Order: sequence, then C-alpha cells, then structure tokens
Amino acid sequence: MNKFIKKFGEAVGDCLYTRPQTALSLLNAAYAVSGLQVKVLPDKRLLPHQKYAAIVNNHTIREPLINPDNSAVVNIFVPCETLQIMGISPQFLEGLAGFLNGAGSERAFIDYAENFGIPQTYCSYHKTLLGAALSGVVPKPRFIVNTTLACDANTSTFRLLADFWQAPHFTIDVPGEYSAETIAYVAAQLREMVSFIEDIMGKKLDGEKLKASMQRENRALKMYRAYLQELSGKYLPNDLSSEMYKFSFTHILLGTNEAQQYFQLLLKDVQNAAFSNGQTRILWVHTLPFWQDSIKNVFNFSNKYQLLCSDLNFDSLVEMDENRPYESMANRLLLNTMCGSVKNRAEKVLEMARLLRANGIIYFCHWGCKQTLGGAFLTKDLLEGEGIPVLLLDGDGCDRDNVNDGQMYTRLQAFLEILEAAG
Amino acid sequence: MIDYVCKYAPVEILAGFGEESRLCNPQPNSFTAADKLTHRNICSFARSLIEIRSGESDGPLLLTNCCDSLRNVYDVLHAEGQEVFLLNLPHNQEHCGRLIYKNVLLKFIQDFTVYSGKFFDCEKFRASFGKNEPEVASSYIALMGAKISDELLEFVRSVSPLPVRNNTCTDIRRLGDPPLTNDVGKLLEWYAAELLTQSPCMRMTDVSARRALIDDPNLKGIIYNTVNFCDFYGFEYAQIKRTLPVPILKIETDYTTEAAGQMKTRLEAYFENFTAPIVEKRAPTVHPKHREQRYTAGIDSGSTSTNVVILDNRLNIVSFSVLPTGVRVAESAEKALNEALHQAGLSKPQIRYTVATGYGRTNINFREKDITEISCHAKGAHFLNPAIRTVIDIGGQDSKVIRLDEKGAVKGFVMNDKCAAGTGRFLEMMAQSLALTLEEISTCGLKWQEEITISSMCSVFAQSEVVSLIAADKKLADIVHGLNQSVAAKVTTLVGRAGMEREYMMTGGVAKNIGVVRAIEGKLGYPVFLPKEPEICGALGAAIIAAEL
Repeated sequence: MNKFIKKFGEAVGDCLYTRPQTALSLLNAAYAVSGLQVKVLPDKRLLPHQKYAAIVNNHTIREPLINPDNSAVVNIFVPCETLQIMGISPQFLEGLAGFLNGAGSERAFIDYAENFGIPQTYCSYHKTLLGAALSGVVPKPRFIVNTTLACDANTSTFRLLADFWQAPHFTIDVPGEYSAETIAYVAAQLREMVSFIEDIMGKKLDGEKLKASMQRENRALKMYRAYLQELSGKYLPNDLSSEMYKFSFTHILLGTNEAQQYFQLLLKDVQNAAFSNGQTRILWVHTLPFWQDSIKNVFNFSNKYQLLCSDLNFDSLVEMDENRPYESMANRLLLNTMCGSVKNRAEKVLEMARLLRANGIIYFCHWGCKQTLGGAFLTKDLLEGEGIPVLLLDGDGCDRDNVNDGQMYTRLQAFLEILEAAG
Repeated sequence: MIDYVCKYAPVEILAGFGEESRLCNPQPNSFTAADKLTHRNICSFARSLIEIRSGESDGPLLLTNCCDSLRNVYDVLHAEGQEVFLLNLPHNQEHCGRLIYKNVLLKFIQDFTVYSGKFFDCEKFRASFGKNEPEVASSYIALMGAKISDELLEFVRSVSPLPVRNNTCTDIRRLGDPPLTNDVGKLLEWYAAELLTQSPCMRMTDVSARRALIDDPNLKGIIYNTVNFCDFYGFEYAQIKRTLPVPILKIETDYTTEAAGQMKTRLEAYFENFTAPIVEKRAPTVHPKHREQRYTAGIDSGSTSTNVVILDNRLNIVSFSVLPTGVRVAESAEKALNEALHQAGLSKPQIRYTVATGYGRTNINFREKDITEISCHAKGAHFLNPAIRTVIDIGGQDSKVIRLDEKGAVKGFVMNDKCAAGTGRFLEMMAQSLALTLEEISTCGLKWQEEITISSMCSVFAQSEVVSLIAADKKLADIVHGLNQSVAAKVTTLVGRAGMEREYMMTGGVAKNIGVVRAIEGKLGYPVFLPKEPEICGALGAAIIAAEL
C-alpha cells in the first residue's frame, strides 16, 4: 500500500473513538481530491469507459456522504431505479466499504465493528460499513432498503443499522425459487417499498419517469450484450478497480443516463480494441481484491493476461418491460444468478466462459461470503467437468490484514503457469 | 424416519403422511468428509450435517433454506445423490410471506405424495400437534442463540445451579391447536401462519418478538451460544449484552467434540461468579505472638507452565515457583509445589490448604478445592493492585480478558477462540520460524523501522507470511514488530468485546514480552500495569482463596 494512503488510513483510525466528525471530514476531503484527480489527471492507461467509471463512482459514493438527508443506504441488489428517478442518492454498502478500503482505513472500521461484537467471521465489506456507521463516521441516511438476496449478511447488517440510526427500514424478501407467485410476491413488495419512500420523502414517484428509466436500461443492456459479444475476440486492457467500478453500472445505476453513457463508451472501446493475440483470458467469479498489489501487478493493464469480467457483472442481464416495471424488477431479482441453487450461478459462469473464450476461471473465495464459499467446490467440479480449469483463490476483497499474500500470489502464479503451458 | 433441522420445518405434515420425524443434531468427531465437499469457512453446523449425511443414506432429510450455509448443504447432498428436500422459507412473516409459505407447503405435500406414494391425511396431521407444556414460573438460566449440541446442552445442565431453559433457535417451537377443517388449503393457511409467527429466529425480518425471551423476571442468566461461521446470533449478542440486567456468557462451538476443556472452564467460571462470589476477606488481625504460623498454597496448572505460590497467614508471598508443565500434570504440580516449599524452607504438612486452578486443576489430587483461572486471576490482580478493572491474561494456549468491579469480583470475561493467534503459542511458533529465543523475541521488535503488517487472523497464515518476509530480506526487528502488532490487535479486540475499562493489568507469560506489552499499550492508548511476576497471578489468587477457606 502506498505510504501516504497508509498514513491517511491511520489518521482516520485515530479519530474514530473521539472525533468521528473529523474522520468524516478527512474522508470527504480525500474523496474530493481523488475525484478531481480522476477528472484532471487520470491514469493514462485507462480507456475512456474506465476514466468515466472512476469519475461516476467517485461522485456516487461522495454524494450521500455530503447530503445524507437525501440518501438511502442500500445493498448492491436493491432495484435503485425508483430511488434514482426520485432524486435520492443510493449509498451502497459494498461500494462505500470499497472506498473506505481505498482510503486505507478499513481495518480501523473493522476493529471498531469487532469490538462492538460483530463476529470476526462476518463479511469484511459489511464489517467495514458497520464500523463506519457505529463509530458515527458515516452519517445517518434518510432511510434504509435492502434485499435478502444474495447473502445472509444483508438481513443482519441493515437491521442493526436501522436500529442504531433509528432510521426507517424496508426489506425486500427475495425467495430462492422462480415462479409466477414469487414474481408477484416480490413485485408487491417493490410497490410497497415505493409507498414507503414516498411517505418518507413527501413526494410521488413519476410513472413516466420510471418507464423512461426502463427504456434506458434496455438500451444499456443491448449495448452491454454487444460489448460482451465483441469482447469474445478482442483484447481490452482491464484493471481490478475498473472491474469493481462496473458493479455500479450493472446494479445501482441501472436506468440512469450515467449507466447508458458508460455502456456506450464500453462498447466503443471494445470496438476499437485490438484482436486477442495469445493473451491468457481469465474470467473472475465474485468480488476482486482491487487493493492487493501482488494481484494487481498480474492483471492491471497486462497484455499477457486478459481479465475478462467478474460474474457479478453479468448476474442479472434481464430485459425490462416498461409497462410492467415492478414485475420486471422482481423478475430481475429472481433471475439473478445468486438466487437459488448454486447451479444457477455456475451455469451462467460456464455460458459466459464459453462466450468470452476464457482459458481459466478464478473463483475468489471472499472471506465471510458463505454463499460464494459454499458453492466453491460444486462450481469447480461443474466447470472443470466441462474442461475449464478453475482456481479457488481464498482471500479477502476488503480487509488487507486478512490475507496470506505470499500464498495467494504463489497459487495464482502457478495457476497461470498451468494455463500458459496448456497453451 | 425423516430428519429435519429447523423449527420452521413442517414436521406435522410428515405426520399427516404417517411418517416419523426427528430433529437432526449431529456432532461429528471431525470434518473429514465435509472438507472434501465444501469450503471450511461455512457454518460448522452445516459442515457437521454434510459430514454425517454424505455417506450412507439414513433416510430423507428435510431442509429449509434458512441460511446460505444450509442452502449449500442441500446443493452438496443433492449432488451426492442423497434424498433431500429443500423448502423455501420466506424471511417475511407478514401476510404475503405466509401466503408464499402456504404455497411452499402445498407443493411439498404434492412432492411428498409422489415421493412416498402415500396420501396426506388431515386427521393424522391434526393428531400430531402436541400439547404445549406451560412454563414453570421459577428462576432459570436461559440458553440462547444458535443450535447447541446435545452433549454441550447436557453439560450446561449438569453444571448450572439453576434449571436451564433451552431457548436456542430450534428449541423454541410452539404451535397452537389446528382448526377442525379438512380443507387442506385452509389448514395450510393456518399452519403457515403458525409456523412463521413462532418466536422468530434471527434470519427472519422481524425479530422484535425475541424480546420476550429476555424480558422475564425469572430469567437469572444467559448462556449465549454461537456456532462458528454462523453470524446471525453474534448480532443479537452484541446488542443485548450492553443492556441486559442479568449476567451473560457467550460461548462459541464448532459442533465437534474438541475444545471441551476451554468450554468447561468458561462455564464453570460463569457459574462460580453467578452463584457464590468469593467473599473478600482480609488477613487475620491476631497478634503474631498468639498465632500459629499457617501457610496456604495456590497451584496454577497451565498448559505451558505450572506455577505455585505459597502465602503466610498475613498474605505475604513466602515463595513461588514456575516449572514447565510437561505431559504429566499431577507430577508437575507436585514438583512445582516441592520447589516452592524448598525455597521457603517449609514442608508439605505446614501447608494448611491448597487450591488448584488452570486447565489441569482437576487432576491435582492433593488440592482442597479447585477454582477456575478466571476467578483466580481476578483475585490475584485485585490483591496486587485494587485499582485494576481489566485483566489481560495471555497464557500459552489462550488469552482472556477479565473485567473486575471495585471489590475485585468478576463482572465478565471473554476468551479467545480455539485459534492460537494472540497467545503465547503463537509467539513461540513465530520465534521458532525466526530462530529467536523467547527472551530475544521479547525485545527484538523494539528497534523497528519499517511498519510491516502481518495477518492478525490466523497463526498458520502468519507463520508462512513470516517465512515470506524472511525471504524478502525484511529486517528481523520489523518482522517482530509486525508480530507484536498482530498479537496486540487480537488482544485489544478481546478487550473491546469485554468492554474497555481502565486500569489495565497484564498477567501470564506473555506479559514478560515487552514488545507485545508496548504494542498493546499503543493500541489501548493507555499504560498497562505489569506485576513483578506476571506468570504467578493465577497461583497467587488461588493461594489467597486457600487462605480464605
């Protein structure tokens, strides 16, 4: 980790117990500077869609920290179209935790959460956000919405946050089975969620705006599908952070102009990209340890290894019906590859590995994610049975202190050597 | 016979088919089979189910998707060709959730009809509802939290001074009387509502009704059970421990029979503090001339060392000894006592009472009494410095944080899990990797220059990290400093869980490691009181207790 970031993270940590407001000011100032930097002096290796992603993500995370009264804390799977068109900024847990890691401060927050009594075995994204909230650094939002998809942590974390902040809270229960009944069940809850938001914000959702959002979403999805098709024969330099930033566009920013703009740039970049030329093509499963130098050094902008995509960026490529927006959003949640049996996810990964001509798959066993950990062996068996090599890589997407870097790097390197030897 | 694991499972429907069912609560000796089929870092109960059920079939298993790990159990066992049913349990207990669950139950009846070739009988279904026994209104200890193994439940019951009520997640299943209708739809509508409105488990959306488990004047204490890698219940514990008016003890199990020793210590210490706080007595005030000199001994039989303290009747330490425990606990205790007697110029008959503490305490036959090291450390610490409110004891195999009140009584305590991180064993392993003695590793890290972070979670990872750092030509002092920081992080997390309160004292062998002490002080932001002989604090407490007999 960069020495300056390390010092900065320590400074934030030093304020936690006595001056949480100072910690927030430090973070806001740092994100303002990094926001300016990605606009004015971005990394020259970044492609236009990657530069744009960095700018939009910076804004998406900062806005709720600056204007908490107009924000809602959510998890990544909450259908945020409704919030976006009502002008409410969603603060998504996974994104904010990632940004806190980017500021070198995640350990201080994790310590805070663990001292509070949160189990050590809990997901470190959730622990980071909990520490940031319970210490008083992250301000109270106007309300909280979460889904029960795709992990148990959502139930526990958001309930505790609602209790701690005394903030209105709505949970969307997403059953593990796809049927007409479950679509109706989830759609009814989404309608109820909108009433809940309208009551809190004192304004009505505009049905026409929701329709327009669905249309934008479909246009973006079309471009994204075209991009994936094109990527199957191309080499498009990628980096771990940019792949993480993509999560926002494939989830909480769906239906926004920003997402549409992003997918336009993404498609253009891949159309302009060179043809794949002997690179080892890697498909990634789950979140990425974007902070970890040893892994970054392997993949970031590498012309030897092509990081294709994380499966979380194709977990719910579902077309929307603008005339049935609530059923469409419910449909998307229930068709998410993380919903139900582990086979759903594994089969989608297989389909995409074939489409993108992946040489191998890295299945990232993020600490605390029982959903991903539980499915690891079955997915590996299924994919390897289809002739695609899989590396199960134990690590932590958010906590620097919870990895064995040397061992991870050795395992990764050995896997890549095997793939290269196989040609 | 059909096994089920969750209180939301429709066992009365199985009875409607004429099937017997039983609550499956396996406690395997190891996870050999499970580790081949799934990742180690999922809930231990889920792993224990896979371990037991992945071999020969023992009849069908009925699961609900009550958590990510149990969903995984279904996927794994299904792939193994086992007969498993999975029911989609809603999180939402309101009307729409009940409707969804009613449909799930209806579908289950259809599936089970096909599977068994039998028909669902409403009369048999109704007849299977047992009468709920009224709770007896008397003082009790509640077991709360996640599932608990039968063996541990029995042990808790055997050591508890009060009746134990099992309020863990599966064991508070209470349903009303079914309506007298043969309309399956109506019957299931009622049944789904009954199942979902039971005292909720922590995976449900609305858990407010759990408050009733705590708001009971007859409740005198809580043993809060958590299962390794099941995170739901850690949240409830974290919230209630701050406001609960009764003493609470958190225990964590991995559903195997291991770690029974540590669990025994925790439970016994909890009940000692609960039932009979050790009465503070001062030394007798009789003039020495008129008093026969009497001595007492305290023996702390730890996993690494056996320590003995001998006190005179004015509570002066006349001698002490510290010897390695070795493989024979009783022999080591005898040797350590003889060594202390020799130093004091005393013989065994002059010792009026002997109190034993530590893991080996029950193996010392010549003891008059055995007391847990929690109470003894508290006693010793308060004797040495009455201002102490938090004792950090880092021993060879475990670390503990004990909170004291102003009279020296134990207010609460936490211990590390089975992991060696943050213990003396961890430092021994690291010293070995670095080819340092324990004395050398104690001071080596004080002259550090570069901040190196070493995983604070796992000693095995840390050891391999140390090897990598050596290979990367990092300076020894910086590596040791990183290790000290790692131990301090683990220990201060424990302190945080116990509730931070000044003044702090460190006891146990690791208190002699000045590097670790400085690192802990740094993380606490406050100095730590170090007794002259930190290893003998437990034995001292035991000797004081012996003097009070």
